[in-house]
Amino acid sequence: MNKEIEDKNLFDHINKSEQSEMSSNFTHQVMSKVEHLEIKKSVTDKPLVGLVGWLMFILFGGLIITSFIIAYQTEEFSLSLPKIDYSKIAPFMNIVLATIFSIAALIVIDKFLRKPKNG
Amino acid sequence: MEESQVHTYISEVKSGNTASFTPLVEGYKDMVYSICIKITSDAELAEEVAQDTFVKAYQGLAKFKGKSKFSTWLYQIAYFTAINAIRKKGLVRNDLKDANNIEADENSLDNLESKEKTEMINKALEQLKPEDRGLITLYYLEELTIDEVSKIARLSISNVKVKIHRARKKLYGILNQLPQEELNSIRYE
Repeated sequence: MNKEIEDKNLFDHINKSEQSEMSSNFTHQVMSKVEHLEIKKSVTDKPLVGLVGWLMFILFGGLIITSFIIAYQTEEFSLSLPKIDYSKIAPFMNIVLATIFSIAALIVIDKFLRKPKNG
Repeated sequence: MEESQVHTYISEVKSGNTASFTPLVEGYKDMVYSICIKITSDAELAEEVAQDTFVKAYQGLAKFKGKSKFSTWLYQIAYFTAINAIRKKGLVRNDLKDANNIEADENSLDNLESKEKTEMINKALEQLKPEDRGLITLYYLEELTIDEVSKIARLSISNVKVKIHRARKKLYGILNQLPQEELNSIRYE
């Protein structure tokens, strides 16, 4: 016999059996409990980095890139990349990289922590 | 009850008219009680759980955004409240062997009468873990689709399929293992 039909036959016994009924004043009991309660305010999830934050971040990044381009611009036409003294930039770059990394990490953590809910 | 009507009542309740919650309780109390009694198998506890479900729903109305049906949302609250209630009260009978190790014989109830079958199935259901009992109730007794069950139980569709398959197997195993004396006591009551 097909399993689904067999299951249906099995559980039909419970569905067709007499179920006990709830008390006649069920609604009244619920409403008397509810009257003393307040609806909890829903907590809305806000992004860790807002629009202003992102704009500031992009501006900051843009400024750094522009300053590098301006600082190492040469008047001669050359196909090779300009030589940069990384020892001078390194401490500054560390701060930039650390900032980018922390923001990225916060976004990833935030995405994993939030679970979609019904409702 | 139509979904648009439900949303009207919900908006009224949210804006401070508590009385508008009454038609929602009236409209869904049978549905909520039905799932509660099937999961708990205890009339008194089922009524308690059903009341808690509506109280929780009332308090959490602000969270209901209408992305799913109100009935699905209510089912979800009832499902989790019911299985938590069973866990708290310890309403899982463990007097039989580990159900996982029992070979399922799906024809074991063939010779029983209808009422006897119902009692046996209820006894077997009582021995399942609360979550398994909940899933069996939603899928087989409430006749919801796998998709609806996955939304209510907050599980993936594949996970629901696997869990229901295992729970079903355990249930048939338990039915097959119920002692003959118990079977006879039901027969001659």
